[in-house]
Amino acid sequence: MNNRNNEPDPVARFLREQRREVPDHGFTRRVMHRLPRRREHLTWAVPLAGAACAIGLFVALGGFEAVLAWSEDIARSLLAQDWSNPRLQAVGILMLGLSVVGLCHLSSQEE
Amino acid sequence: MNTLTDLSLIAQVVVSRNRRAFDTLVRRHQSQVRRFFLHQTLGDTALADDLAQETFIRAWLRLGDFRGLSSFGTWLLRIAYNVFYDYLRTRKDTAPLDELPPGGEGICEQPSVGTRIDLYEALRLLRPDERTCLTLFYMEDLTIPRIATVTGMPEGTVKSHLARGKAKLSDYLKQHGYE
Repeated sequence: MNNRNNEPDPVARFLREQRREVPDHGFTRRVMHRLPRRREHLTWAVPLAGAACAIGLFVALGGFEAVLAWSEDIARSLLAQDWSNPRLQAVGILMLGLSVVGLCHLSSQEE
Repeated sequence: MNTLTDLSLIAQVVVSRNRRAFDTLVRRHQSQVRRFFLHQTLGDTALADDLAQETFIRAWLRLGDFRGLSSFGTWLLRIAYNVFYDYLRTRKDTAPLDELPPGGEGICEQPSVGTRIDLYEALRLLRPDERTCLTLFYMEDLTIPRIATVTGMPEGTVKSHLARGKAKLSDYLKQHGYE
């Protein structure tokens, strides 16, 4: 332990002798019960609602068909090595942008 | 030995609002925070627990602001100090704290060696700022710069409160035959 009982200063000795650990006795449970939850629910609810809306719009506006059409068109241009296809250029720019973001993220993690 | 450090638990709470991680933090630090309030309220256990709960709720809401410049315990004590002084401000028009009878429950009984001197009777002699500085210094083993961080007082003011509080307690202990 320590030499607190040999402490020459009576004030220091008295106060240190009085120090007690306070047993939990359900205190933590009561705190956890009182923690606000609403904000936590909202944090999850907003992106969830956003994602549901986005999926609904994607399906309703023919997103699947558009993706298939684009994929076929891009695949054909790639096979024919036709780089003037604006869709292929758009996908290329998108991939380049995502690569830059990924590299930045990786370098920030290493720091 | 704690398997997870406070910092890793805090990260879990901040990133994913992990309630289990916060539960561990509360369990780990409740004794220090409740003891702080017991000393400031002169042993009123119900009031001390209410204020301690308020402290942990504020910590939960503001954990994202924790920058790790001090330990989590010191950061909690800073919140606890603000909670206590907010409480004092709200009850300014009612009876001063020093007029309240000390609580009489089990953990408030503080027999000392040789002669029976009640801690809260002794602390009652001190002004709130003196009581805060003295208990943080001697009972929580905080350094003067740390006490200054917790209370927001300049270090010189902390030293003055310590000296004045110590002189009052020393006289009280002498009168009660404590050597």
